[in-house]
Amino acid sequence: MRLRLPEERPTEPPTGYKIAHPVLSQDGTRAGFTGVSLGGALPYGVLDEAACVYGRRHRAPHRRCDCGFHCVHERATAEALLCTAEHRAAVLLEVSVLGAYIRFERGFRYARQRVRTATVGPCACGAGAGALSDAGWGRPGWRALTAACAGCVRGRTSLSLASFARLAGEGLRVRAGGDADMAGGVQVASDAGAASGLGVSELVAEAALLQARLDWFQSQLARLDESGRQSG
Amino acid sequence: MRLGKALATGVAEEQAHAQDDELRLPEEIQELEASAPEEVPAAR
Repeated sequence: MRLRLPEERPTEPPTGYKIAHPVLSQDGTRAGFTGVSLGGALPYGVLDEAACVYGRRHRAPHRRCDCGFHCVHERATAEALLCTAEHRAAVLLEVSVLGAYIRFERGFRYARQRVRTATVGPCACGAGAGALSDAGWGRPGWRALTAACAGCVRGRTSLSLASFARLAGEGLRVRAGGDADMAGGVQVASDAGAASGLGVSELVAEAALLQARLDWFQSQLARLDESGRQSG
Repeated sequence: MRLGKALATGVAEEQAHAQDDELRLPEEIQELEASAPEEVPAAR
């Protein structure tokens, strides 16, 4: 027999932490996230409603199911999940728990979610991320993105952190975090910010990305020029 | 993600934050246009 759990009514939405992969819609007009485990098949927006991933006709979160959004109470717990090889490319999300929820010892399962901040880890080469670029996998209609520095973006589909925030909407903030930052150390990252009010560091990152794109473009032009001369 | 034992249930709602411009008082008080005749029930 299950005991009835105590009911609570917080004055502020609880804050939680989780990891997810950033995604970009096929037509490049929308941005969101997809979970790393149970809800991986259902990409979600910055402000979104959970549905039962098993297709059962009940509202998420149901006590006897494990559906609904999931998050943990502690930032460090979510950061620890980023250590595993399969989750290295995921980003850390700070979320507001909304709607009906079940509070557990280590986190929440809940009905609605607002992603407030996404912290992007370093590029695979180790440099700080200046962009999110095509990770080479996805879901139907959605490309998964991964952190990339200006030098590694090359010709892949990519967008700056600020552009991702703008497409995702709802005031999402996207930060580039270094290793120290992801390990819970001092905040060394620049704030890519919400859609409005870009700072100097964000504009420098945008410029670096444009420069890298231009370098790649020029190298492609040079290659075409070279092959044209050889055949002509 | 193992969350442990269920401890409580709840409902959380975002507080509606009033926009700054909604809080600004009008600079001048506008006179009501020709006052509408007081409504009285004409029939029951």
